[in-house]
Parts: sequence; structure tokens; C-alpha cells
Amino acid sequence: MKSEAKESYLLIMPLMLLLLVFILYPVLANVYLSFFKWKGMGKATFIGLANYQAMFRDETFWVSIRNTLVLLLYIPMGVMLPILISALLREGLKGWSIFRAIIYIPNILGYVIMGMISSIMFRKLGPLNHVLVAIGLEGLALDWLSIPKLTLNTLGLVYGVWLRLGFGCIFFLAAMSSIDESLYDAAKIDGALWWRTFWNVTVPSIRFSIEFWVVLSFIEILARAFPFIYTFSRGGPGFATFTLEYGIYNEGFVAFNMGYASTWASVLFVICAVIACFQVALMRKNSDVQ
Amino acid sequence: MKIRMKVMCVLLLLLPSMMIWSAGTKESAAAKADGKAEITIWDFKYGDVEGVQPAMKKIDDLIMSQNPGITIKHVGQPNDNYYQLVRAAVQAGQGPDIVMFHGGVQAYEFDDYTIAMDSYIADWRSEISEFSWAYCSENGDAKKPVHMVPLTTQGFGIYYNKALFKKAGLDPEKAPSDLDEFMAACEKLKKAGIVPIVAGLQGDPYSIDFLFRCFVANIYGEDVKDLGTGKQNFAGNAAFKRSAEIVKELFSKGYMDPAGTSTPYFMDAANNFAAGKGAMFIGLLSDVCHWKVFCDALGIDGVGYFPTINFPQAKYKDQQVGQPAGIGYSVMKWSKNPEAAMKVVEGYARGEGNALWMGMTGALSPNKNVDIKSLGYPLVAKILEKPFVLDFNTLLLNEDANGNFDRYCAQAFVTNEISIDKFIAVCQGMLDNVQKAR
Repeated sequence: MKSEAKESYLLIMPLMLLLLVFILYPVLANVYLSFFKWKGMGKATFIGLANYQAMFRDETFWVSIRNTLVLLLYIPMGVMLPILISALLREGLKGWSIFRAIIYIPNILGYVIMGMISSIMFRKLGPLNHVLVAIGLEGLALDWLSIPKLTLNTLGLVYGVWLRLGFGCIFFLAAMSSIDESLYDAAKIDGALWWRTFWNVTVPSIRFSIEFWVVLSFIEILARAFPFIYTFSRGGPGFATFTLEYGIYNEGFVAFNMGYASTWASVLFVICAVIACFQVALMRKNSDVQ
Repeated sequence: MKIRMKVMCVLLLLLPSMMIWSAGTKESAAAKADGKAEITIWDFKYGDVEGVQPAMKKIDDLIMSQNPGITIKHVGQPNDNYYQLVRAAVQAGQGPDIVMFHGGVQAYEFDDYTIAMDSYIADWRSEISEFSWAYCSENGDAKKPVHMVPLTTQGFGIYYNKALFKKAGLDPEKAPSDLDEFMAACEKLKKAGIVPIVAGLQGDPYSIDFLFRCFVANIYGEDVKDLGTGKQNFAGNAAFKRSAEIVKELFSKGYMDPAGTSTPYFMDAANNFAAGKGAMFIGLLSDVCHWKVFCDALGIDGVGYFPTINFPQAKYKDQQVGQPAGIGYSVMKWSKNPEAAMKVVEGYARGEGNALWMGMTGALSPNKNVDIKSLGYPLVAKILEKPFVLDFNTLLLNEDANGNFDRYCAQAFVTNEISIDKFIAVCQGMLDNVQKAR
């Protein structure tokens, strides 16, 4: 082996060690633990596939899968809205800097605080309904956190779309700043209207950024929504916002069925891995086409 | 090139040493060289800086003054991940000398790691009822050793605001004695523009959960223990079905606070009742949401109480539901000073320390020697006149008792996702889970 190659391996070794300890080992340990009955302390008992059998019979598991899938349906809106706003802002807008600061606030506050604020905002007697009533929209002043479907869709809209809107706008604006202005000039000369320019110039030019944002959105909903849901609705009312990730917490750290929680976590890992592989393949294909 | 290689090697050597350093230092719980013992306590109540912590600080000081060789280090741990922390300590085989537990299944899971206390409590065992000791014994079996000293007896009941009863034309000195009277009172209150029942239903619908515990006490009485053995069931019990129908009626007739769905029970709903925003509250006999808080807010003679709602289908009447040990202290097996630790626990469970505990926090002590009258609240004496019937929730598995039951209540009564029959079926499922676990 050449000394340069040796040095390269040496350079990446600290990172590889960290990945092995903090990523690979927990993943493998989780799968291993899913074949055991363990209360989070003491001796674990090997029970083979019993946890998996119990999980597939567990009604709560299927409810959590359904709820997670509903939240994933908000990804297209969570991607398109910041792109559209960014495209409008790219052309310049009065007061943009103030607007940018306002829509970026949720990212500064974090999920726990935003979850708490949202749970207060959407209460039946909360500020949102007060505003709706004040402007004459009594019909829209609903009991947002007590009607299961409404709560789940509110969660999708707030967490999947609104919460990351500010960051999305800044992210896509940065991506759009690298688009060659001559493309827009050419489109203008050809008589293309705003919408056509958007679809044929802007969107294809930031394709990689969009793909990255999509991947990020999947991760956010599948594996990072817990702190928000915990403070927003605690998985309720009933099981209305009980997602796969929330179920892992519930089984692991409320019921302390660690083996069973690992079974749920293994399923979440497989879902994330399949989606990630599919998206990487898609990105590679697009890269080849380009 | 050589210099870079050297730098890399140093960095690689630094990494494991940093990881070892980050693992922290081992906390020593051993006796100090001068013969003094430092006793560390972990609990989830100490974080309540306005309510419980001042009382605990006073009791700690008292115990230390009575036992000059003992120093108490009281650590308030976060409530939400308390049992994760205790489990981590167990896995590590080291941690505090004394650990606070909730009574019942959450404590039983730690029986292998806590000491048997029988020899330490022998001299004063009679001060606390065997009803409580049995509950604090290994796996709840009275024949087995005691592993926890109870600090509280907990229960559930219905408080009412006498002034609002009077305003609605009701006799404030007479609590509703049966379902008809209760419903009639609710109707009168509603007509007078008063919220009949202050409810906390956002998140976990505790108002319904606690009401059911009161109902179940009347349905099964002393037989409630049989729900854990399969001799008694929810399915096929007409009274249990009727109790679910009553809860439905309370909602459909508008007797439950319409704003309850966006009001968390802790502490918003309790504060609403204390502020006079409703006539009745399904409250606690615990260290929060209790007689003391409400009497302090509405006047010592301004609060009434009744333990349950009597209804014809239930086999029993006026049963008061309770948990023989709401919270308590256990001593961990790894403690280097179990004698000193037991002295601290004893200081909390009896004598002056115990009187301070009850007087300052409003928690109900299981110690029979506490002078209730000296507290100056006639209501608590009235509450404690009645014996307790075991809370059915204490028989359930951890996940059902502390999560699923509330979700089923929400589905059946708040969101109306499931029918009463389905509610009974899922509740029966919780009992079946107990059987399977056995």
C-alpha cells in the first residue's frame, strides 16, 4: 500500500471509529436485542422471533404505520412551498429581511419549544381560534387537538410544512443564487411567462438541492419528529398522532419493554434504509443523465 | 510528511484517552473516613421547588440534626425520564443509596436491587397499616419481605365548591348521594351558568381516568383484587358498562367542561377549580390537586368532598378508591450504609418528619400516628374516616396503567372513535395482559 493511501486511511480512521461506535454498533445491537425480552436492566431472555410475531399482531403498530404514512404525504407540500416562496423572493421583495427573520424563528426555537407553542396555539380556546373568530371565520375555529384526523393533519401541516419553511426558503434561495442569470434572460427573450420559467429553468437547475431536501424531509418525519409530537400532542388524542417513532419511545421508555421496542426500531430502520437506497439510486441516475 | 504522521498518531492516542476521561469519575457512596455517612437520595418530587422541595429540605435538616453522623445529599431527578435514570444506575451497579419509587408495579420491577427492610422497620411497623406494608412487599405479596417504606397513601375523589353549589340552589352541606342526585345537581349548576365538572382532558384525559377508578371501587369493592386473577372481569359486567354509559352522558349533557379538551389536568384544570371556575373536580388525595390546595384557595369550609358516585347497578356504595402507597423510599442493595439510609427513610415515614411532610405538602401519610386534627383542615379528617379500596389501576401492567388506559378513555369519550363495547373490550384486554404476564 502506498504511503499516501496509508495516510488517507489514518486520516479517516477517527471518523470511522466514531461511526462504528455510535452508528453501526447501536444498529446491530438493536437488531440483536429485538430477539430478547429485556426490561432495560438485569438479564435479557432470548425469545427468538416472538417480539416480531407480537408486533405484527399489535393493532397499535399498524396504527402507528398508518399515521406515519399520513405524515409522509405532507412531504410534497413541504418541498414545493419553500421552492415557490424562494422563487418569488429571488426576484426581490420589499421587507424581505424582516420576513426572512420571522419565518426562520421556528428553526431557532427548536422542536420542543415549538411543540409546546403549537399545542397552546391550537387549543380550542387558544389564540388561533380567537383570531379566526375575531375575523369572522367562526366556522374554522375547530377543536384542533381533540378530533383525531384533524390533529394528525394539523401535525402534518405544522411539523411537515410550516416548521421548516424558513430554513427551506433560505436553503433554496442559496441554491437559486447559483443559477446562471443568462438562462432567465434567454427565457425572457423566448417570451416565457413566470410559471414556465419556474418549471423549465428554476426547478431543473436546483434538482440536486430538491432531492437532498426530499431525503431530509423523510428523515425528519420518520426519525426526528418525536420531540415535537411529545410536546404537541403526546401521541394523542388516543392514538391519533402515535407514530412508529413515538411507539419506540413508548415501548422502550414508558413500558420498558426494550426488546419489543427494538423490534419496532428495526422496522423503522428497514423503512429508512429502503427509502435512502431508493433516493440514492435516483440521485445517481439523475447525475448520470446530466 | 513525518510531522503529519506524528500529529495523526498523537490524535489517535488522544481519542481513547478522551473517551475514558469523558466517562467521568466514579461517585463514591462509601462511608467517609471519619465515620460519617453521606446518604444520597434520588427522587422525582424534589424538583417541585415551590411545593415539595421546601418540605423535603426541612425534613432532611431535621434528620441530620437528629443523626449527627449522617449527611443527606438530596438529588431531584427529572420526572419524565426518572425510571430510565434509575435503570441506568442499576445497570451500572452504582448510584444513590435511597431511591423514590411509585408504589406498585414500578417498584416491584426493582425488587432484586433493593434491600429487604423487615428487620429495620420491626420496631415501628405497627405505625403503618398492613394494607400499605403488603403493597410495599416484594411483588405486592404480603408474605414476602418489605422493599419500600410508603410516604403517601393516594386516592381519588370528587371535590365540590360549596359557594357555587349554594349559588345554584343546592345544599352546600349535602354532597350528592347517588347518580340521580348527582345528575340533578349537574343540571342545576348548568342552568345557573356554572360549569358542573371542571375537566382536564388535553393530552391524557385524567378527569375520566380518575372518575373510572372511583366507579370501579363501587362496582367491585373488596373483590377488585380478583380483576388481577381473572375471577372478576370488565367484559360481561353490567355495572362496568353502565359506568361507561354514565361518563358518556356527562359529556352528551354538557356537564363536563366544554373547554376541558384543551385543558391539561396537571395543573390547569386543578387551578381552574381552585379559582372557582367550576363546581366539581375529580381530584386527588396526593401531594398535588388535593384538599389542602383547594381549601387554601376556596376557604377551609368552602370545599366539600365525596368519594364516588353511587349508582344502582354497582354492588357497593360509597367506596373510596386508594393506593396503599403512592410513593415511597427504597434502599438500594449497593448502598454502603444501609443502616444510615434506613434512618433517613424512617425520618421521613414517622414522627416529626412525617408530620412536616403531611402538613407542608398536603400528602396523606399512611402513618397512623400523625395528628390529623393538628393540621387544621377538617376536610382531610372527613376524607380519612373512610377506609380505602384498592385502585384497580395498580393491578395492571406498567404500560397499560401509565398510558394505554388513558388513550382508551380518550378514544371512547373525548374523540368518540370507539364504542362503549369496544372500550370494554380493550379494558378487558388490559386484564388479559396481566394474566398473560403471570
